[in-house]
Amino acid sequence: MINEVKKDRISYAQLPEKYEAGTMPTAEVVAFNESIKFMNEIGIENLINHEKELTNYALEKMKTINSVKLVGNPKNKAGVISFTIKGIHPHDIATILDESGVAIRAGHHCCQILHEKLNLNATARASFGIYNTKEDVDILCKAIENCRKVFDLK
Amino acid sequence: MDLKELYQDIILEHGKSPRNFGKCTGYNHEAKGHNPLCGDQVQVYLKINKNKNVEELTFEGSGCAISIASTSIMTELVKGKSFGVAKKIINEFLNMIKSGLEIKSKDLDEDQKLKIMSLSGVKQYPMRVKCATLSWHTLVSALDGKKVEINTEKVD
Repeated sequence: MINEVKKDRISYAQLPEKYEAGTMPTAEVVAFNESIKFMNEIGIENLINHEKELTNYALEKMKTINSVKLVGNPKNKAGVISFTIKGIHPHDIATILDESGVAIRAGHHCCQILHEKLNLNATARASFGIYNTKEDVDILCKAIENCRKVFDLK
Repeated sequence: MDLKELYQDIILEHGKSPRNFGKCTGYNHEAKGHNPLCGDQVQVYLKINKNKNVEELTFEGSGCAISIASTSIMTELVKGKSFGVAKKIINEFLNMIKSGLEIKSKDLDEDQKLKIMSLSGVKQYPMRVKCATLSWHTLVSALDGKKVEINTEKVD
């Protein structure tokens, strides 16, 4: 919360009001409502099934790429796949995939201690949602195969 | 932009087989650097002699191909240089990465200029700039004998 706002300066309210949000997040509330409507129209079951189908399709396909090592294999796997590629750091993987229009996350994913335990300095992570298709997974796998070409690895 | 401009052969080669890796004996300056966003870490070890020349320069650390190659090339170019020349080379490198300025240094031969310029493609990838500059900032800290760990989120 503010005390006073001028064109060239601002002063804040006393603590603890200083850290209290002032304006209602109206746009977010409207968007949240629309998101719920969107998900209800499709149906939660259908959303989950779509994610599961894509994840399984991707897992099977990624297993056939020799250089890829999948990290973690829980019973109830969400639409998230962590992996490494032999000889290429995850940040380099992310840059190379980005050039093919594939956005992944690379690094510690806010769990550095787990990476230490697994003796990995970082991982690459692809995730899927209702807006993804099998074709997207195909593009991901092709881009993964391209990584070793860019790095001149056999 | 072509990925090969970023991942030039020289970068891939230094990334795979970094030069001057490990602790050098008798080092008298050292510094640590860290990129908290990606987990890259680097330690540089220097032996500066009585005439203020960088007699030895080595490093340890882990990171992506860009960061390892950049550090490896840095140790090759700065080793054997005087304190002042080392600082000049570092400035030229940082200006090249940040502002795209050409390397004009008279302290580097043509072969060394090609090496340093192989890293210029990084400028096109803003997300990767800090991979390339981490060790160079860390070297400045070591030269100045500062005890503060370099954190990429706190330097330009």
